[in-house]
Amino acid sequence: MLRRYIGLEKKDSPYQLQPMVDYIRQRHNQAVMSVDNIFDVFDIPTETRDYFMNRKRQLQNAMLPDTARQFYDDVFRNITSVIEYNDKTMMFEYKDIFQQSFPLVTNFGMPTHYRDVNYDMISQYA
Amino acid sequence: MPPESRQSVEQEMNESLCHCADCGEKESVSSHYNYTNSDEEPVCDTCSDNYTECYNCEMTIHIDDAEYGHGDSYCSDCFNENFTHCDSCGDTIHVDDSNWSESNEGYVCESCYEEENYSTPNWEVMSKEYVETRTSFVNPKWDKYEKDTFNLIESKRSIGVEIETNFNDDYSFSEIADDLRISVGATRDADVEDWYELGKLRMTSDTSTTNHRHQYGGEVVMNPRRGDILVQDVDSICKTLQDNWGAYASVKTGLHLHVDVQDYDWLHASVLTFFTKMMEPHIYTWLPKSRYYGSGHQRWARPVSQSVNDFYYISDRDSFVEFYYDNGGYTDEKYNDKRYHGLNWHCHFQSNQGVELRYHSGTLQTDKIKHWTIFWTKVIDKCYDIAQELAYDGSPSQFGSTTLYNSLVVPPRIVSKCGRILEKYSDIYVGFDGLQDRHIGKSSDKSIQKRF
Repeated sequence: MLRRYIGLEKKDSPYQLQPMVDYIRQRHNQAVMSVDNIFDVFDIPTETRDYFMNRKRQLQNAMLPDTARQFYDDVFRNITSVIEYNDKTMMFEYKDIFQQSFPLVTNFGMPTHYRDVNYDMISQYA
Repeated sequence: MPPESRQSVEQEMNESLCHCADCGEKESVSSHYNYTNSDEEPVCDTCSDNYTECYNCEMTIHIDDAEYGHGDSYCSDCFNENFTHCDSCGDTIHVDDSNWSESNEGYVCESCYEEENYSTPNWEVMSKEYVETRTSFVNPKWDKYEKDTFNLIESKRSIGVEIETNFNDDYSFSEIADDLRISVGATRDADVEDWYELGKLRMTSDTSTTNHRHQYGGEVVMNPRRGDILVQDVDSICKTLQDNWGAYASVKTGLHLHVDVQDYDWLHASVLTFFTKMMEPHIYTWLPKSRYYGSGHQRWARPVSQSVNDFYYISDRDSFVEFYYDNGGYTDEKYNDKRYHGLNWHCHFQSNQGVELRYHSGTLQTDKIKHWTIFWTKVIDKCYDIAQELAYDGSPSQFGSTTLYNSLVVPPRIVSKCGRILEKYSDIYVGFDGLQDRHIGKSSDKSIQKRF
């Protein structure tokens, strides 16, 4: 039930229960809007969108890969969900989750700080 | 008794009589005086009423010389040591009960301190029309330009920009400010002698902009203006700073926007804070990492500190203020710690300077300031509209009852269901923190495998 509620795909092994429960209890405190949704909701002009995306790339490229990775890990610390605001319904919708936040029971022993998150997903999510 | 002897006895009796040191009254030896004056000389019962004892050192003092505190009398030394006067209301207060007041630059009593520091701000809300048409700031009529246009900055809100910058040398700020005013004034439809007045900016020192590497720095504070004239004036200022004064931006500097939100009520403020929280991680990725981590052991653009749950109880202006000041409460002083958040409401509440966006790093590039202003004015205008929509059928009783909030939080029935599941399967789950007592190993319970 929890897996389906969260929207996780079925795997060979069950997911660990505690991370799923923690996620459900706290997901509203661990959500971030997708970049595309931010730009759409606030009607940001194309030139300004491009400016910010270029700026982000410039800054990312200016950092050493490990530094950039650490920076993104810190900025998105605790983030587990991507949400989008629907202007018509005036509601937020959960659109995606960080699958890596949900280890299987066979993953026991995995370091808790492990976050193999593809941050591009957050910005390129459509 | 021979006369000599009688004289001798009288003299002896006279010497043994007590004389009141104050009124000169004589008293028999048998009923000698019980009291002394402040010089420790005996005084009669009547005169003793003029004296009292210091509550602290027990020294006898004349009532005319006594000081009074908390209903007790004190000598001057003890009073000055133990008491002071409230610089606000003048009441006598024990030094242990006094509080330093920034605004009075002196010590004040508890009640004045609380009134001053824990009062709620005077949050006056005006109409959106007023905000978009007010002529309190830079405007075409008084500042001699044709009209406000909104091709680049579509918002009609007034925006003040603060540009922190470093210099290579210890230049006079008044000379820099004069130069900047003239460079802005020169773009107006005005005579040369009016240029200085039309600059509408000031230059202030700011120690937060300097360190051993960047020894000289300050801040250009532009009066608020709306629309495209803002970008035009920012361009004049940035070019003049770089070309004439060798100004540069460093890790020590920031760029702050102050946006007029006097039409914002508690619901608008809640919506803006809520959306800012939801998009904040992205904002940090558009800026140098020092804006997130801070510099010089200080974070100048801290993230929104309140959790989503905290928004639930906001129901009016007072509760928003209580929610926002999660550092101990609103204080009517400039340097409340909440001013160092990327989204800073303190300047709006404390000095009516609009909401401040502090996230951006220092820059002298017009293009960056332009896009940053476009972005935030769009956000602030849209958040106003969203709040208006939420209040369309009447203002919600609290933010927690809005569709916006409820769409994000997990319904209570699901949360309690989670609790029941955990309780039921507590022997077979593995805690994410890997605690030993939560270890299940590999469960062979096939039903669990199917269930999850």
